[in-house]
Amino acid sequence: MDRLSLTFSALADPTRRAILARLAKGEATVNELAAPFDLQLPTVSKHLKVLQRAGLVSQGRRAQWRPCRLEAAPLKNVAAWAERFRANWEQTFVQLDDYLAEVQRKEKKRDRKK
Amino acid sequence: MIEKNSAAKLSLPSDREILVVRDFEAPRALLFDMWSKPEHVRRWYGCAAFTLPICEIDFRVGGSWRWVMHNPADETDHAMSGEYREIVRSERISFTERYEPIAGSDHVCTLGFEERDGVTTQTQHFVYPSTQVRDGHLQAGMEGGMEETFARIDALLASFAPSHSHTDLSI
Repeated sequence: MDRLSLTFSALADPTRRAILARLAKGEATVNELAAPFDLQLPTVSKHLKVLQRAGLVSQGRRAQWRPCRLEAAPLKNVAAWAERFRANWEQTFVQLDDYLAEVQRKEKKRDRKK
Repeated sequence: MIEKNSAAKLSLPSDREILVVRDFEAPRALLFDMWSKPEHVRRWYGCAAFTLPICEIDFRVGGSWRWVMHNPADETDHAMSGEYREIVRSERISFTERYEPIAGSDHVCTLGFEERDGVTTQTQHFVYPSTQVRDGHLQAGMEGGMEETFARIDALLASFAPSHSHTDLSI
């Protein structure tokens, strides 16, 4: 997967966006990140791994307290624009999904009547 | 990463292109009709809150199209138009497209439909005369249906962007 796709996939999840928004305010430990979301630690770790792979988050090396830090580099404007462009089309395509299903249901009904 | 298989995927093959790929559970002949017959287009195209009072389609090579979306919230109209360049039934439609209020927003969009086991993969390939025009089109998406979470990402970008202005996200 290319870098941009990694960024998009990472941003496609509301919990991960919330984690990034939290980290924009400053470093936080995994425990601190888990608290407001009412999530299990392994779940938060999984989200963090996705964010780390996308280069959006780094984690300190100090053993006990390994704070997570936001790495905003991949969040260049174009990535945010592109993700919203994608999301807008996806919204339209969900409407198309529904309409396609409706049209195909009607076709089937018509075929049965023949 | 758990991703719904049907979700639209976007990539930027070059700095003058956008590629959007999406799967649909329908034969490709039907997808082709969805884009070429006004009675279908009206039923799905555009933001949910918008209507499409004008949907003119002269579906032949060299023929023109004009779709006007209406936003009842602020009573604004958004007109798009262009000409058909290539039509291969059930396979491909290529057309020019412009957002009428913005001079020079002309670009070429090519829709491709490939069917396998009743699922059609639709590719939407946008080619722009310049990076500036492409980025303008990408940004146009910012107006529609803003999610609160994205607004938060914007704030986040604003607070970090200056110190990382040399970062390369190109692919």
